[in-house]
Amino acid sequence: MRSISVGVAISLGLAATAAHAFPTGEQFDGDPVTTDGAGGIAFDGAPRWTSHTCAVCHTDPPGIIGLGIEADHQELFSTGWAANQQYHLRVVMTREHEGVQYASLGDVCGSQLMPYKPCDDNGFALELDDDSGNPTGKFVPVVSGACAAAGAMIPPDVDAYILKDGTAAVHNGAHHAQIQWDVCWTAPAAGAGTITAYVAAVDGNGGDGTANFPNDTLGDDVAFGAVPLAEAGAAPPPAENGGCNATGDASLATGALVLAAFALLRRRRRSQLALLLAIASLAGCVHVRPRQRATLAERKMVFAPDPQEDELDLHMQEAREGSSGGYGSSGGGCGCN
Amino acid sequence: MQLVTAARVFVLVALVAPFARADTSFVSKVQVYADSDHTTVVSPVVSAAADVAPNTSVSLGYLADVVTSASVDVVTQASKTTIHDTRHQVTIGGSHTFDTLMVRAGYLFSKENDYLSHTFNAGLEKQLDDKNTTLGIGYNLSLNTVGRADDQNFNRSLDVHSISAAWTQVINERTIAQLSYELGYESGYQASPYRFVPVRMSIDAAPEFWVPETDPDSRWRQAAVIGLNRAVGEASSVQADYRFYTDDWGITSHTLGARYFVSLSHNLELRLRERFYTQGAASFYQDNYSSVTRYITYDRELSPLWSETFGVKLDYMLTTHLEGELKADLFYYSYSDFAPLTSRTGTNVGLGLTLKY
Repeated sequence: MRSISVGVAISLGLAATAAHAFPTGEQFDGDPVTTDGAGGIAFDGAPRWTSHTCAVCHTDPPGIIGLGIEADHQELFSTGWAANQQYHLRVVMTREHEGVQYASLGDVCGSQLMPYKPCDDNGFALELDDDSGNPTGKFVPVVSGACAAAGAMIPPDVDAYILKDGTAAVHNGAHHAQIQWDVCWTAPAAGAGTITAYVAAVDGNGGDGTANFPNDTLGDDVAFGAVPLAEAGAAPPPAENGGCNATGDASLATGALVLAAFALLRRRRRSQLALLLAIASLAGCVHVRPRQRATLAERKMVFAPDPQEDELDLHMQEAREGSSGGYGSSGGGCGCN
Repeated sequence: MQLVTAARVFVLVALVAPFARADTSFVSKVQVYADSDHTTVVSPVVSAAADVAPNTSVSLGYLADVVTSASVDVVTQASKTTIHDTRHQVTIGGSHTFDTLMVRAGYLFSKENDYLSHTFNAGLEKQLDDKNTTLGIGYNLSLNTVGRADDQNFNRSLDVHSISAAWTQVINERTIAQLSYELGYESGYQASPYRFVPVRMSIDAAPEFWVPETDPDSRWRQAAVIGLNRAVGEASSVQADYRFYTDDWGITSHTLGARYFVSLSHNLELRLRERFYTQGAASFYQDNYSSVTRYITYDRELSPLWSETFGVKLDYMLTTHLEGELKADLFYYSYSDFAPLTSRTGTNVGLGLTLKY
């Protein structure tokens, strides 16, 4: 899996504090001072905005939601993007859990109702940058399931709002309870090289359920990441800088080295083991940047995801076996006399 | 239109780590161990952790082992055929992060009827290469006092030192590896004050007499572990590790572990795990002693043995902040050279709740 990018915005905010979010796409283009807008920043994690994401304002997210990008042309994610090809993209948010109690209301919510009913507001932001970090390609909304033609009238209820400068697509905000958004993107001319899609999403919680705080930035969930897209027919994306290069499947190589280490240990050839382990990490690794660590950050990728359980298990094992150590000390008494 | 999934990423707190956030958790668990050797251990655990400052966290925990046993150890050496004992353990710890350097320290106090333990630990972790590499070192000192129930005059000490080093390396976006090493030195009383060894002409003969178990007063241990975690597909991962262990008592062991994690739904995760362990005997271990030797033991943990463990665990997100878990392990131990007990089977079941903000 590659990664994701960031983005999003939801919420709306009538609160007098600065903690407003952007329930409509137009607010991303709004002046920060006079309209409490974003000043043209999509907060999708792109480097040109120093990788700022929606987590700048939607703080303390629990990190439960997931995020994906889909396309009508599979080869976009395998062989790469083709020059001047138009792609129908879909940003999908999974594991929505905030504000879901309001989802059944659909668009029948908000302050236009008496009594007030909260909305399940979610949002996204998407930007595709070239290797220099500059936005590339061209966005158009999806109208009636198809990419809008040049110069066509755009109805007000499309999924995506394209920023005025064309650099990013964000949620339009016409509908509530959305967990996926469609937008079209046309690739640039050949020669642009690897393009990275920065995408982000916010799972809004509907504020505190009252009209006073319908869309503050608290209590929401956020996901973001980046997806590198190679240029079709060009060389694959270069390995990222970091002093080591990937060749083949690094994990398989490491697995083979683990078995080799086992064999050497059995033969008590310890000096060779040290050399082998050094090779194990240097021969098959790549430099993984923070935005590419979405998978690595999941609990299932942690070596000791449950320290309390490990402590109990290690204590039991050490009391019933002749060995101990190596995994971290359980310490503390015997419990076995 | 056929849309093809390119990337699905579950972004957890680590991705927003640059932003200061309070992280408070409270964990409550209970685990019940029961085996065919008539031993039951009930272990309740409670622990709490909190970020008290943007770069500082503290933790506090309590654990108890409520032991009821009529194992062959107990039956063969004491007048009572069933023992009841409770171990209480309190831990306190803290850590502080200076940019890419994390410093941690902790203390553990453990007390039971016949055992008192003070353990101090400290460690450093340094992140390198944009957090692709993490190096860690640690030191552990455990000061123990071994007693014997109903014997005020029996008092022995056991000091345990250990140093450890760990190297964690990101291999790629879906793979991470870890290599760790631990060197330990134990000095003091290491036998069981309750265990007596029969001396007899043959293993089938009646004991001529019994002598207290006597182990060496010192022990050097070494253990090295290599592990690999690999994401598989969009909702699962595989973890594998191997430990090599050796000590100057002559024991060499190999441990292979494997775990498979899979998300069954957005709030339900399944873990399957497998562990195989095998060891050789200590150099002074004998299944039968026909005469008294310098070191003499009746400890099956020093005999050749192998074990197999299989476990299932379910983690369920009850709410955004509350998680429940249920686990069950089945295990089997085989003792090829210990006449009183040739095998042991058992279960280890547990349930728990974790509250996290």
